[in-house]
Amino acid sequence: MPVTDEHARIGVFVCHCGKNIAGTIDCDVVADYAKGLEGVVFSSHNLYTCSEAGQTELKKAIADHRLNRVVVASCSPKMHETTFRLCVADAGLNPFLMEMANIREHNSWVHSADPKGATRKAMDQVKMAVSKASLLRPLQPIRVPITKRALVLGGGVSGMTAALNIAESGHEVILVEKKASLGGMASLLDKTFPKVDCTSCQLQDLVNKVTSNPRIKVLTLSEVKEVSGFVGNFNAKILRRSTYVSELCTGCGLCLDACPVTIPDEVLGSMRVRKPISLVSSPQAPAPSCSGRSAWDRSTVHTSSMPVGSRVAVIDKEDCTSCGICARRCPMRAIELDHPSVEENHEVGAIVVAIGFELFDPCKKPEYGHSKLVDVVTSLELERMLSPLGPTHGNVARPSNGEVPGSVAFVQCVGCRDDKSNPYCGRICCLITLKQVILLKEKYPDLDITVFYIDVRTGGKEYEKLYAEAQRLGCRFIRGRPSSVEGGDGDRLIVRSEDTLTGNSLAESFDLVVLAIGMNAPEDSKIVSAMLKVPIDPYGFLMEAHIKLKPAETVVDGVMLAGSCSGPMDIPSSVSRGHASASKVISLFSKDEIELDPIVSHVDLSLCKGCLACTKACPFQAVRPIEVAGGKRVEVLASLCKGCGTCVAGCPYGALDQYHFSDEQLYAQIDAALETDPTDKIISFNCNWCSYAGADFAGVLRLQYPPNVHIIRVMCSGRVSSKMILRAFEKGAGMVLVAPCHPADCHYISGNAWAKKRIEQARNLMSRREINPERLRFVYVSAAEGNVYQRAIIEMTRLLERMKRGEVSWGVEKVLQEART
Amino acid sequence: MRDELIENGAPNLTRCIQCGTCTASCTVFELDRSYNPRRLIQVFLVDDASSEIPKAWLCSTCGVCTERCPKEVWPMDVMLSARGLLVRSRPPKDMPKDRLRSLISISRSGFAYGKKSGLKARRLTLKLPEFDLDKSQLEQVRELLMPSFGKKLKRQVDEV
Repeated sequence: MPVTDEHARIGVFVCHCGKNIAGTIDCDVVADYAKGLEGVVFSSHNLYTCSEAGQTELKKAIADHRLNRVVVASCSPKMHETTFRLCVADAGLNPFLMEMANIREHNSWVHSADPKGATRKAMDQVKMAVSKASLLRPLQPIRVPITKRALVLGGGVSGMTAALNIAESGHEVILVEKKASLGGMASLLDKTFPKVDCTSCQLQDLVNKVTSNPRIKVLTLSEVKEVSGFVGNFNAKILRRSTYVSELCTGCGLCLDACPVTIPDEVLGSMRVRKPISLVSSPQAPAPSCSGRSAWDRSTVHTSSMPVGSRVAVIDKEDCTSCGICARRCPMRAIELDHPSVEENHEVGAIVVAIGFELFDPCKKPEYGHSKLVDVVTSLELERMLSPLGPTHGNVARPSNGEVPGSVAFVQCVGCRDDKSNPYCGRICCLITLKQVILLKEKYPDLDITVFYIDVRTGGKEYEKLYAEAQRLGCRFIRGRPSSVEGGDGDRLIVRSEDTLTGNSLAESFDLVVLAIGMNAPEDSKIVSAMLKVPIDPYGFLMEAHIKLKPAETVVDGVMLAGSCSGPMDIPSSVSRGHASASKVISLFSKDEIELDPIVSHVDLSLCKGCLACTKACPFQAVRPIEVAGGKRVEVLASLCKGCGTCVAGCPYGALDQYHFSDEQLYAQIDAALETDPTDKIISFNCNWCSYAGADFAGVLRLQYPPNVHIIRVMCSGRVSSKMILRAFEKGAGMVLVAPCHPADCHYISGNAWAKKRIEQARNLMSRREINPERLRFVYVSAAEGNVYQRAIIEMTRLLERMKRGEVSWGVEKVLQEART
Repeated sequence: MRDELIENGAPNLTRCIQCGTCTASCTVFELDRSYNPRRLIQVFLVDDASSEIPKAWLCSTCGVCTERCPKEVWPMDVMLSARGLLVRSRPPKDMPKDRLRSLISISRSGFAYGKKSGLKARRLTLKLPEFDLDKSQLEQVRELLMPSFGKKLKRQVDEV
């Protein structure tokens, strides 16, 4: 198949890289050899091709010799691919018509003891690059416009911070909150660490800023039901549940008194029942600062600690029986129980997910007695008692008799560091306990407080001070995780523990036991994950694109994460994650169009049989089934495609292909590598992100291995089909290595898992064709595991030598015969 | 010692974070402070455990520690693993007397508490099937047990 209408006129530039390459490889010989290759009309070698002089020479050669393809034999493309792409673009060539041969990291640095072998390998590498280059096609980046409006899911601290930042930079924001009021979990807290200062002062300020910002549209009692589209062009279907209360409501609360229905509270289940009606701060009318107390204290246990300004009633229809008593009682006739919920569609360009966390359910640790023993409370229940707006107006009372306790025990790590619930450390529970100890001791200096802990974790600026303060105030710290909390003499509670530092056993009585419960992944993360294709981790939290380097992004372009929906987090971290996600949205919105990489898959509909194997292989839903006259076919949505090529390798009919890594181009590389002495050679398929970089790293560390390996770069190991592996053996390859990222590290979520499946397939095919399956290797190599790659090649070469000596069977006769006929 | 214990049936031994839940749950520790499972595990992990390991015989195998351990260390299994090592590698003097008697009884009759006629009668009243080991089965039981016996014990059994 002709590549383009014109004949390929290839120029080859061999770089010395000072002595880095030329010290081992005879660049003169390599450049000379290149001249003889098909399609090559010019070749030269220079001291530093990447230098300004080298680049000028390259551009001049393109003009002088009318080059339409360029091969640069130098360092790793991970180092200078962009440099040379820009360079050839400058000379008027399409940037994708440049191919690199990595003769430094993959050759001179790792074969310095064998200059002849290295030079021979460099010639092969140039031949491989030339054969691919002659098949390269010009590609244009995919450009899509951006809708500069953001959708924020969740009106907690983190979501509000993100929304405010985006709005302040001039873009519209739709802030969707499931509950009736903004503030999230933080609104239930009275004071927060590390300063032990008033939450509502700060939170109310944030709420005011959000609700008064004209660019932010706050949708409370709302849920996103469906999201379609891709980065810059999402469409979100949002359900706005009715509050069943019109704007006539004055917040008098008579409806609340009238309502006969009671339901257990979700958050404070064991402490209070609530009603389907609640009074919330109106998002439209900012409340005054923290002074007065609500006249409706009995309702405040389940609303927020935010002080009451303009409160309005809202009704949760899920629990309401529609009896209508409230509507009759309302003096303003503000209640309309048949008011319908509405669905709205919104076009947005980016989505920030800030759906927060849930609390660990203490009933899952029955040995600690929560909800069996009334005086066992959770840290949040104590928090609500400590709040002046809480059920006890800030007085700590034993739920059993309403008296102030004389002794309190805190049990740490309830539902944390526990393989039976959450194996991770909750990160904030120690600090919450220390804060609560300080607040308790301030209010009740004579209170006996004992904290049962495994380790007190107070990492970070300011936090260790809390520990010191709690110690100074006379709190007793016992290092031991209690085995159980039991009912004891009278109405007291017995906590059984070991003091592991003395080896003594303790069975002490307390008036109140506080379980420091940890943070769970939000239940809604599953829904969000299914809706937005953002993967969730083994604990149920939404997964960042990279835990260190891309904490605000996800693998889905245009979808960011903020706050504790990606893992346990305190308020300072949640706020900074809110800022981080906003900054990613703002930088996305700073452009009018986004350029997407054109290295994507495409489908030949005349070959597609509609088997849909490809749609299963694609983790990004970029390959979709379509109905045509002849039945089912697939289409590739280029803007969703990430370019791994896993679908291509999965197509049994060869209907799919990938730009820049086409079957034809990869086969040409395999064939070129195996033109001479194939049985001595190892063909190694390396994924761009891990094992290719790992082989580069072996070069950086100068780890020596034999020069018989030829690396073929693919974007993902998922691109390697069993057909491709067999092609190498048909051409006589001694061995084949497929080197993917480690199981959890795939850049494309599951490409390496597919690679593993295909290796099994290939091994089956190999045994059927009497090729020793031992000759195909599958080795996980991370970008830092140069030594693993080195060891794999050395071991494979050893096996190759044993096969040559006849100690191990090639099992190859049949294949060679087939190839001959 | 650590690796042998892991190999012999305590696969999660290294996961212990010394939280003390096992000791706080321990029914034996309530009565006998010399048996502290948390401490014993620490010794198994970092020390020469040869003088401490016989304490593993004190475990009542009630299983509360294993039920409550947050790290799946399974302290009861650790103790059973330690007993396995003791039986295999040490002279039987470390073994509590009743265990020794059980072993001898098993090698004689196949029953831990001896083949008593009363037992037979009770099985009948409970409508349990008759249960007896014939000579070759008994031989098999001994064969299984013998490698675990120290020389002294072997002599005692042989004398019978």
